Amino acid sequence: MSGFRPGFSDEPPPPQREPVLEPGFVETTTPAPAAPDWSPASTAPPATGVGALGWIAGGLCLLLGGSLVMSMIGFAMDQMARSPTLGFVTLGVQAAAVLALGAGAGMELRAWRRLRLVDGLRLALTDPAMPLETARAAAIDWLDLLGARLPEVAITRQALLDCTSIAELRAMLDHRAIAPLQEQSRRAGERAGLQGAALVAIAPSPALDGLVAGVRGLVLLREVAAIHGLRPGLSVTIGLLRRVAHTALGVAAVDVAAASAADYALGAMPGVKHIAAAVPGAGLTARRLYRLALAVAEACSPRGDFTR
Amino acid sequence: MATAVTGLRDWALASATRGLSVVDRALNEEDIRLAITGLSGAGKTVFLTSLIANLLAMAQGRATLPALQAVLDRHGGGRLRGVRLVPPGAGATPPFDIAAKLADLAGDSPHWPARTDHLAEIALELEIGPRGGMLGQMRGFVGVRRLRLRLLDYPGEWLLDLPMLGQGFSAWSRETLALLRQSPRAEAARPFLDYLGQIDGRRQAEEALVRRGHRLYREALARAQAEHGLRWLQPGRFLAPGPGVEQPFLWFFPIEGAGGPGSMIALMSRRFEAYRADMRSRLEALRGFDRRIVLVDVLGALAAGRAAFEDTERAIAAIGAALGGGRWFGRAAQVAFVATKADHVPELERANLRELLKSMAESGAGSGAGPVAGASFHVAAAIVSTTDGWADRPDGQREDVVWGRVLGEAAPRAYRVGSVPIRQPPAGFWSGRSFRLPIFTPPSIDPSGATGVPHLGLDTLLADVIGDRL
Repeated sequence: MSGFRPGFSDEPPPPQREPVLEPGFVETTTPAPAAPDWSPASTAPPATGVGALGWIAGGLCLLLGGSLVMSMIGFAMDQMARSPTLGFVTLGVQAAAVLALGAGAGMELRAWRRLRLVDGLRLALTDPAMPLETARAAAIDWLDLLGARLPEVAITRQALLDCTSIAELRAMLDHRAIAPLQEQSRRAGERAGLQGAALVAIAPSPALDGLVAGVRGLVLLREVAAIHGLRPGLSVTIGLLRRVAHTALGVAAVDVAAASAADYALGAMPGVKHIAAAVPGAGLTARRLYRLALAVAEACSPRGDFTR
Repeated sequence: MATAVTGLRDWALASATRGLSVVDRALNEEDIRLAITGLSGAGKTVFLTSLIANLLAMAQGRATLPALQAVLDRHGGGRLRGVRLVPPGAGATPPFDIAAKLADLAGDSPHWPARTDHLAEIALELEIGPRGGMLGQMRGFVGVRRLRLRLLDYPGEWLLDLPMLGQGFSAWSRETLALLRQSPRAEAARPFLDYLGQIDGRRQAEEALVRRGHRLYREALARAQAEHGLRWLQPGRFLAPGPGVEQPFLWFFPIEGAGGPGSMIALMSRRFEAYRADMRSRLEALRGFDRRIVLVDVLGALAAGRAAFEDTERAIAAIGAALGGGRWFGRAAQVAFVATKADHVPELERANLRELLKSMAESGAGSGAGPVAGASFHVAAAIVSTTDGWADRPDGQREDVVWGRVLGEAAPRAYRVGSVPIRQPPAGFWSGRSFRLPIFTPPSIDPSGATGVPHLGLDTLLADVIGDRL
């Protein structure tokens, strides 16, 4: 190999190539860059916030509530001006009414707290970072809420205390608490189905069928909620209705369809077969109420997905 | 009477439930079987952990796998309704312990999960809503699709045993010992080779001597792997034995010659045959997994020197040829090769890494394995532990580096991985070149798992491998 390099003789030599650098750590005074923030964007649709209708409703409530309070004060002052006795009687009546309202609100608040307890337990059972003791405490609180509705509460409590992981806790709750509640809810659904079918049968007009089923459904919802230790007032009932609308889709279709199929095959709900044969629509009402019981039970359960 | 009616009703209910469950499964349940394999140190455990964590986080509404999300959204937004781990059934394969692996990464002092050296399986159920359009909506009336993603963690070392199925004991011994006498294997196997010179295989088999020979051979393989980065090491189960008590048929080693009944060579030969029979049953686990991902630590091979690189090349080509179809696994499968630890390489060099991987899989020096038909090639980092950046050297030159905190150190340092060639490097590349890749501290992840794990290229890989079934 000759040492000649192609090019012009008066050309300056090319710059020396940088030597190949060996792998390794680099001595440098350059500050380290900040590590990129790993916070994947949320793919959930953006929250809609308070819409126009919300503002209108809030304004109306404020207007009506404020007007009512101002009217009460004005009325009491008027009565007081007429006669102190009349004024004090008015004040007493108003105070009693406010106390009754307060008591009702307190009961609603307690009912909400119970519902939040169920939500808290749901979270504790699914959050992998939740300490076992926190989840266990939530489970025991929920058990206390159920009280005498569960058989052998003391054994269940001890079993929960003996669990060594959240997975065990979840399974034990399923095994000893949620399954019996599920069974009770099923029975309530069957009862409601029979009664709903009977009510439809004796309803004077087919136009009332929907109303009958709706009222019985509302009673069933409160009944199943009570089975799960909740004491639903008006607001909690409305909240539960919203949940049921969401969870009804999640109730295992196979379970419901199988129950319906079996009921069709045997007319297994005692009495429904005869009523259904005589009155069109009664069988459908019965099955809808049964399905509602399953959906409400899921909405009230700390597992939420027990039908899987 | 009432009891009889109730009993009949319960029976009808149970029968109807069973029947409808069968129909529901037939209409709505699908399986995707994805095997993940790679030689030890390639990052199978971390890969599976990241894949599962990011899929679970994606189901909670986080864009952890954007490319996969894009595939799902192509047929309508919000189709992924949920992802859940399927509890292990009654199978014999050990489950992959995802909770323990995530706990390692989510602790106060995050550390890499311990590697698994045995078969493990885990399944995820993806609930996928109907596609858009009239047909998709009509399909929606049948129910929500449940896509069961079955993931198999299969040690790549076991696949290196495939050529043994076509060899007898004496042929295997001859080939193995010839290789073992070459450098750098010879240095790692010196005690074993010395021992072979001291025994006569034609004599009566003495169990104590056999066990000693087996131990020395096994240590030689382990040293060749750990100290020299070699990968073409047989039998694979000597390095990745799997859980459980060790069976006596494993106690053999290569020895040349012919021996009569009762001799040491005859015993070795019998155990070799038993090992091959066991190997066949282990290979059965892979049958049915028609999507396969082969993880390759290309950088580790490049770092360990020429012999290690060529050894890895041969091993990868053999694994690729075995998985891509052929006599052991029936019909051809979809195979994706992935160069792992891509976060150790600056962004500009990652394309080179991919090309080098492709070149390695397709050539396979001396293995006789042809290129894998239809294979795809990727670069990925299942968990990103570095940051791309640059560093100004004392001589005033600026170069691209990655910044990372070495395990046990407090401050990040700039790391230069060196040139990554796009194909087999020339001889001059290797002169005196041998270094160890640093182990960087993994990032701390959200203990609730809600935001997944930072990764590089995992989403495009998944979109490529399973996207057609979504």
